[in-house]
Amino acid sequence: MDVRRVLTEIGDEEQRAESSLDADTVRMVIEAILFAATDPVSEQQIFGLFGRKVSEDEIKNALSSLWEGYEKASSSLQIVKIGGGFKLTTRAQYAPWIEKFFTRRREVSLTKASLEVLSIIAYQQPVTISQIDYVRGVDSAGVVRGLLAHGLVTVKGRKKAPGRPLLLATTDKFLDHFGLSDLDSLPRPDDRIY
Amino acid sequence: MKDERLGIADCGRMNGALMNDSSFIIHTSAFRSEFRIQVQNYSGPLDLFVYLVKQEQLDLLSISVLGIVQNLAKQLYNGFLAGQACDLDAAGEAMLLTANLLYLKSRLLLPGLFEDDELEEELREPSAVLVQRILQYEEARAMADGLAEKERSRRALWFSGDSSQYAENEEDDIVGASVVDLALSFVGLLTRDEAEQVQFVSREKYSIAETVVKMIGILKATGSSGRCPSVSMREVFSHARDIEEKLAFFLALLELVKFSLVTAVQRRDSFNIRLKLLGDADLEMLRLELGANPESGRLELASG
Repeated sequence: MDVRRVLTEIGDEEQRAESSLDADTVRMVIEAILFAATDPVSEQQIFGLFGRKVSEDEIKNALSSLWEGYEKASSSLQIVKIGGGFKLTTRAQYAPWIEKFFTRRREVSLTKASLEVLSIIAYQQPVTISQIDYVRGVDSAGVVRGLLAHGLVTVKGRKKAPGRPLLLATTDKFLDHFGLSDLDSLPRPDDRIY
Repeated sequence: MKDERLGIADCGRMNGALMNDSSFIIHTSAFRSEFRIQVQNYSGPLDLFVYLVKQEQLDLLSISVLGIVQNLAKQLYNGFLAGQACDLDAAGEAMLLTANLLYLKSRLLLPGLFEDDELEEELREPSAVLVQRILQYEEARAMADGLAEKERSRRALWFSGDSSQYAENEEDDIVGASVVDLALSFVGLLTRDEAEQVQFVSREKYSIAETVVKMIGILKATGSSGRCPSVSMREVFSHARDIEEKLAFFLALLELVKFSLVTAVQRRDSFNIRLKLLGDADLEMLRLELGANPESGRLELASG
């Protein structure tokens, strides 16, 4: 066996693999990842996937190109920025058809109490349970427990205060659940003059 | 939503029992109780009424709280008879407010019996601080409405693998079960002897905390979490040893549903309710909150 020839062939194979990562390939790989993933995919994750073979700018360009492609093609699919990453989803206007296909509407939604607690945590995080109780005027520990179980909030540490109460903050799953790209996208209350 | 400012003159039109006529502006948009009451010259939301009582703008001694309680009970009962969907949040809030009124009236009728009371502190709270709290809560509710809108928009977007959370092909036409459905289903699970058993007040035989942990264990053991099929309520309740434990199971189920740890669903044409564990119940938090050991199921003193 000619070892040198084998090594050369392996080296050529790797070079071919590296050189095949052109812009189109990068774009199609990202598209495949977005289709297969159930959670939002961040730019960091995509960058880690390609290693040093693809630069961050190339990844950004590929995502931008993908987004434009779906917009121009008038597709029923779209790429949205949600929960700190990107997701391939259907467009809202086709939701009734999809629900009809699966013969079931999405009944699961958060209760009024959960939404109130989440809004306090989202806008004032990190926040303690007693601070939430103060605003709502009722015991909110049970609601917080449910939100923790669903992964919408998490414990970020303890406050340096007597009793060392837990500090709560929202998670990426919270952003995904509400279709937000980041905390800056939170809906703001109207400016009111009292 | 229109922001209404209510001046003292308007308060005077509302209630002939107004105690003082100092300048007093309140923001009625903060008061949203669905239950309205009419007493003497006041007609408006229940939560506004309680607020005015606490601010000593109304003379509770001259108002019949019994009439308010009867009015509330009538509204709830008539709504139930008419088969209307009961907003449990609003009903619970109304009951809490009415209980507050009863407590305040009892304090007026029996002064000196209540000392070092938390409510005493709340009653002494300066008006400005109380109004600020109300405004903060109003803002939180407005932002919660905004989040609800975002949630509705997000639910219209589907992605690959999303359907498995909702599409259970063997369970078509599924709807969420209400508390009334749960209660009716529980009654249906009792044997004739159990249903006819004479009820008497006795020491608690099974604690709710331990039963909550036990129920979570049953649901996990039957594999009804995540994407696994749900478990029928009958099967879960079959683990109860006697009528007392069945009652404890029912109360534990209500606790789990309240904390969004379990969902109860049923077919439109069936009374058979199925239960499903949602997410991973934070057993450590349960232990701290309820004082129950999630592993042994025994009640222990919470640490920390």
